[in-house]
Amino acid sequence: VAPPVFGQEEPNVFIAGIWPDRIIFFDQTTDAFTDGLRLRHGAATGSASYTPDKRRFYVITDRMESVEVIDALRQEVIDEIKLSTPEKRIRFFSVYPNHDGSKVYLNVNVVQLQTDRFIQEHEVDIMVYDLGAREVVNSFKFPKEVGGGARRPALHVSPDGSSLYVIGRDLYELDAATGEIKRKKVLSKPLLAGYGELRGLNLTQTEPGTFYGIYRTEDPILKKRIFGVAKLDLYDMNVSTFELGPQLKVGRFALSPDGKRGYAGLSDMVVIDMEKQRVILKKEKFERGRTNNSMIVGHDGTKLYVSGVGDTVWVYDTATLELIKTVYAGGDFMMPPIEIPNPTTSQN
Amino acid sequence: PHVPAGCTTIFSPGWEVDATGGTANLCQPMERDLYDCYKTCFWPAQVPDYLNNNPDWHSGCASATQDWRKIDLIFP
Amino acid sequence: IPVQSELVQSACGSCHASDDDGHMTRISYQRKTPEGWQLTLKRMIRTNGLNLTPDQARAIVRYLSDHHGLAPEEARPYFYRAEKRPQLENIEEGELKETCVRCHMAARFFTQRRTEEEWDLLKGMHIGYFPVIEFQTFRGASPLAGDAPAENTGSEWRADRVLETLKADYPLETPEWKRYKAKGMGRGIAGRWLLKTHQPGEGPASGVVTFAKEGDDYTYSAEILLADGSRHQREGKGVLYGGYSWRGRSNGDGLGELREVLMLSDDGSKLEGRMFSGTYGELGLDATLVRLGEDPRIAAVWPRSAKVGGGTASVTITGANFTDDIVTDDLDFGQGVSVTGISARTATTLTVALEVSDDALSGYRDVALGPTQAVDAFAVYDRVDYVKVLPDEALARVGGGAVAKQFARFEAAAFHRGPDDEPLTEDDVDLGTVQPEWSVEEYYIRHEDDDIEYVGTIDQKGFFTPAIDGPNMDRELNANNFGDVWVVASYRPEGVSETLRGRSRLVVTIPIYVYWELFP
Repeated sequence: VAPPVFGQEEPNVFIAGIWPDRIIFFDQTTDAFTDGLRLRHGAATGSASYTPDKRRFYVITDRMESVEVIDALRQEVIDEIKLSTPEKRIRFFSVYPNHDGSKVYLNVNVVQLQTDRFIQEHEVDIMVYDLGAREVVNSFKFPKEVGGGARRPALHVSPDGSSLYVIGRDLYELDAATGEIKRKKVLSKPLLAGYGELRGLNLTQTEPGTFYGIYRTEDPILKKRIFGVAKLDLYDMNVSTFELGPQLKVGRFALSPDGKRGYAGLSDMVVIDMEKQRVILKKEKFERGRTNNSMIVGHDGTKLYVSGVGDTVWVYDTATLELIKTVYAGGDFMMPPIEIPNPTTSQN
Repeated sequence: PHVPAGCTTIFSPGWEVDATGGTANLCQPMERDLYDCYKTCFWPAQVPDYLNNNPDWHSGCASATQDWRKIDLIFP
Repeated sequence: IPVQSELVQSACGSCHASDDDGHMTRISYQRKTPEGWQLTLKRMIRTNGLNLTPDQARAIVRYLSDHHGLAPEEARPYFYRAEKRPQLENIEEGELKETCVRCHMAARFFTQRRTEEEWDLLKGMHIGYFPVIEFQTFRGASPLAGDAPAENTGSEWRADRVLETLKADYPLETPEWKRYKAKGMGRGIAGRWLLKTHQPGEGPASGVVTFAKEGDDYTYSAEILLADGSRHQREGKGVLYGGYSWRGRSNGDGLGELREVLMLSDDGSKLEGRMFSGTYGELGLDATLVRLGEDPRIAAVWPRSAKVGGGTASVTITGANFTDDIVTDDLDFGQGVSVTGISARTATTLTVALEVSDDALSGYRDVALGPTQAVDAFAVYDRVDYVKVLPDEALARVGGGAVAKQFARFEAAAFHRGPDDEPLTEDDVDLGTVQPEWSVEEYYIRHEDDDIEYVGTIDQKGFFTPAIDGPNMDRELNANNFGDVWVVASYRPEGVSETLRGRSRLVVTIPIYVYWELFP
């Protein structure tokens, strides 16, 4: 089966990973999967991160001890990083490239393998690896306020590489060399009169530095629990929101290519008119049990691709939320689908 | 929660029972979510652990929901 | 604790260095149960490249359990884990439960004693194998980073706070351990014992068991009398760890193949525990063995109750050393119950006719036979107040496709309200097993629950067979056949118009893919 044709103007290809170690591509023009490549060291233990042009994807494999770098256009693994030694097991929770993929920021867990015991090293949270020099060029520990939570924070590297942005209970801009907090924006406390705090922010990056997502809040007057859409311009740490009404079981968000429609699910599901800023279609009990974790609006805005848990992509009509078809991926997703713009129009 | 012995409620939801002690919120079916949670050892006491002891436990079947009969058992 | 076994020194010495008086790293600074040492040894073989013959492995577990084991008082409260007793583990809510008992039972580490450094190294081992545990439970902050403020933004993790309590409450050196070491491992269990057990849903069983020492271990032969009156031979063998903790296997028709986990009482006169079968050890019999001298001993009386003013009743007394010269005067059934005759006798059974007077008082009776007395072995009742289903909470696992089924067996017993005249209180009187009508009811967690159509079926002997595993293509969301149901016993005592009902909660859940010798 021929790989999907790159080179059309709009993004029409998804990259995904299925068990045990296969990276596959989904072509929206045919709604079918094609085989892509095999990872070198087994399954990816998480979703991929990518360079702004989405040309290079970074997945963690080898039982959390390696990063493999995938070139989406050439459809092959072009590099890998492993830092473990016989005496020290260094596992990666997550990996974040800078704008041109010359450096990656690695969230690490370091354990000494002594002959009869494990000793964890706590000095370092982040290791910065230079793919040219092939070595760790810097490392630091998150400030307690940023790194003390239940999960190592996700990082976003600023275009010039000087800052790392953290989206957690609050927004932080950290110094990329030392990890110190340069700027902070509080979201977890009400900021404006008449408004509640922003909680449960669940964001999707629609383009470098621009995020959309669902948040939950409580109106300070009647104490009603409501949900809404938040837009985050990360680099200038600006958040704008609009509310949509009583809370529903929605967390994931996807924006249509023309920006006019928003979709939020998945236990319940709503279609949002982004201009009128209101819900225009609601479907409760859309999914039950553990819901999927990937939702992508097709390039022509008519189809919604839902998947990520299990081996199937559910394709819905975006106007009616009716199921159009299901597509078998050939194996359980180990890496949920991510939309690729067509790489040939980007640089190198 | 009121959890029968030997059961775990870890994590969103648990393995044998959910956080409320029942099965209503378990993944439906369990096989659909098996690998997504197996790869980072969500339930190392109940499901073979990918990171250390059983990295190729799943090699017999790429899709658990289809090939669940080939999921083999581990006798540590 | 210095290691004086060459085998342990040679097998483990390449990684566990030994100082000049035999203290090996890690090993000399921990104490565990036989199951604990077995798990550790298997992990060494699985992940650290140790290779041993089965005999060497058994000998190492034997040595470590005997010399780096627990004192009886330390092991007894958590013996249910070794017994694979499917019971609820009552651990109070709190940080320890949140941090540790979300993955495995508390009994797994409550049956360990470590130095302070060893408790810290246990945390290191978890992180070495499962780095994600840092976020799952060890840090203890809220899992949804964006949802609630992280509780501990300090460097101190919840796991560290829990370790402080474990270091304080479960140190390596304890008074119980010192007392036990001073007393030594006792004189063992060779000799004749009377077995007292109960076949769920049927009635009491008993037998005469003769243990014989064979090298370091024991073999035994037994004459067993089942509830249906049939007699069988059994052979068994096993190990008495630490001089008090029996692990055995036995076979014979009637009860079939069983594994046995029993603990010796402090005065060496009683062995108590469980004999079980089934892939998960779920089909078990509670068992007690008492040392048998020459005197007659009573195991059970069956049926174990009679109605006030019920006139004549015939019961069978089972036990051992029943000689031919026993007469009715040697027997006593307490107030309002007179023994009118002995109609049949063997060395282990007496069939006795009783007369229950109209003014007999409701309540337990001790049954005396010469010098021996069986406490609460019989009961008189004015009416049956309720039926209780045992166990009151059970778990089954779907299976039969990729994995074995885990069954659940129930039985029902009739109860009298007892002296306080209040049913369902501590002092209620157990009137013995009854044969009810068994059924399954929906345990509505959601209004639309339909679990009873999928989870499996119960037969009229109280034996629940779960459905097949795997996704069920005809069920909503292709969910597995799991569910939450009530198991209901309906029983109408004779001469009573109203049917009594009792029920027990049954969770039918998904399989487990790691077959630990024990619960996880």
